[in-house]
Amino acid sequence: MKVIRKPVSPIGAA
Amino acid sequence: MGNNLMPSRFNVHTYTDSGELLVYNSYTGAILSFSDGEQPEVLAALKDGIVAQGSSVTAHLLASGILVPAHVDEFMRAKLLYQSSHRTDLMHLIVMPTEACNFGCTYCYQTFPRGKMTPQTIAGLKQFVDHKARFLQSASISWFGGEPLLAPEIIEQLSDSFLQSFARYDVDYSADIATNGYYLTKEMLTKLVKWKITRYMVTLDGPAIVHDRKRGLRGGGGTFERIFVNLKNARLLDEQFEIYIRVNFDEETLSDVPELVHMLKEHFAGDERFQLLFRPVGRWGGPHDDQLPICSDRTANLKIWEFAQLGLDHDMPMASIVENSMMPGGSVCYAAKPYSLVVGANGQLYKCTCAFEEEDNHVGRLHDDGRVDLDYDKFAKWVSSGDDTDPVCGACYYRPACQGNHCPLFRMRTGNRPCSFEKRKIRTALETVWQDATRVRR
Repeated sequence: MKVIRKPVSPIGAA
Repeated sequence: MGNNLMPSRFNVHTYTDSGELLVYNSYTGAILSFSDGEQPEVLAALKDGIVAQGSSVTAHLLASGILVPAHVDEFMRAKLLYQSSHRTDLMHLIVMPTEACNFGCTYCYQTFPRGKMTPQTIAGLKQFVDHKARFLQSASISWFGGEPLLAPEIIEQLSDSFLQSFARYDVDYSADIATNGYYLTKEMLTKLVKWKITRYMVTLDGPAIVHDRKRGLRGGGGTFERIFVNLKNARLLDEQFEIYIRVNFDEETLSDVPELVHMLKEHFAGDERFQLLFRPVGRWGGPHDDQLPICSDRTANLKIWEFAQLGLDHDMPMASIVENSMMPGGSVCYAAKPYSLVVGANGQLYKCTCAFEEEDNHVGRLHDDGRVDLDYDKFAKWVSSGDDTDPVCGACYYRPACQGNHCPLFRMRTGNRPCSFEKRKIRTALETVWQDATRVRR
């Protein structure tokens, strides 16, 4: 498994 | 007994050409890739969930938000995510140091009614920002126009003041600029970076003969050569910045794009500060709209990613803003963000940069003493939740990224859903992001 992009904690960040 | 961990409703998965499984979650922005041996376990979890987290693979799925505890209400999460954008410790200002431009681009929609920002507006803006700074955690300024580099002295004056205010209150600050690149000399770029402007959007619409036809000087004359020299000189600097080389294409120029990409490779490949962004020309409201040979939606949606892939094949990275747009809230337009405003050269305040003449877009005024008057009835039209009022957006896997607010102008004008380019071709987008991310390491 590879992490292409890490998760973020979304709340409180055509 | 049911499974305790369920697949998130905000997942998408696809396969790369080499057979790797990519899984993306729009609520956390995570993208994971899995090899052949890991795939059966992941696919089973994505289909029905699992009883409990056991292996390291399922631990990663849980940590990435791809699996969620069965009791979690993800609609509530999405709703809270939207509500959490209504905060007062962030500020994004799009500032027009001048509304004039030296270019006469065929597809431009602006009317350039005013020149440089007035001394009164400059004074008011300094006061406004200085007062606001004490309440802020983060601030971002986007320099816009017209052509902002026709007024570098105003950028300097305002930047000096902003930097002092933000330093005094320890505010995290970054800035970007949309410039045609004509005045972006090495000396100018060095100064701009000192003023914390680290992200640049510069447009080249093809090789010289094509670009000059689309983006010539207002009084006539080519611009490609000078912009290209500026970009080559920028490469000689050690400063940290990102330059997004934007390529607007239409039916007539589709076949010219590869030649431009090849030229860019010759001069910029290997320098990750120079990144490519492809966008279709649109009928954006300019006087020549009827004559523009714009691509069909179908062609545009295909070519954006085909050209991005061509760039990667030529060792030119895709603009980081594409990947950022797939993060939670990343595809919400600035016009829909409650903490974002456009400041015109005369102190007129707007939400959207694409419809300066629209009455609903005249949302307020900045006064000489730094006070701001806002028409909250107009303001509300831009920042209201798109995903709460549109049931299709509410149920969409991409909801956390765009919140139904990718383009509030489009929804206001047409009543239709404004899906982003990434969402329209999400699997291709994921594969391209994967290619971009693994390119250096391969």
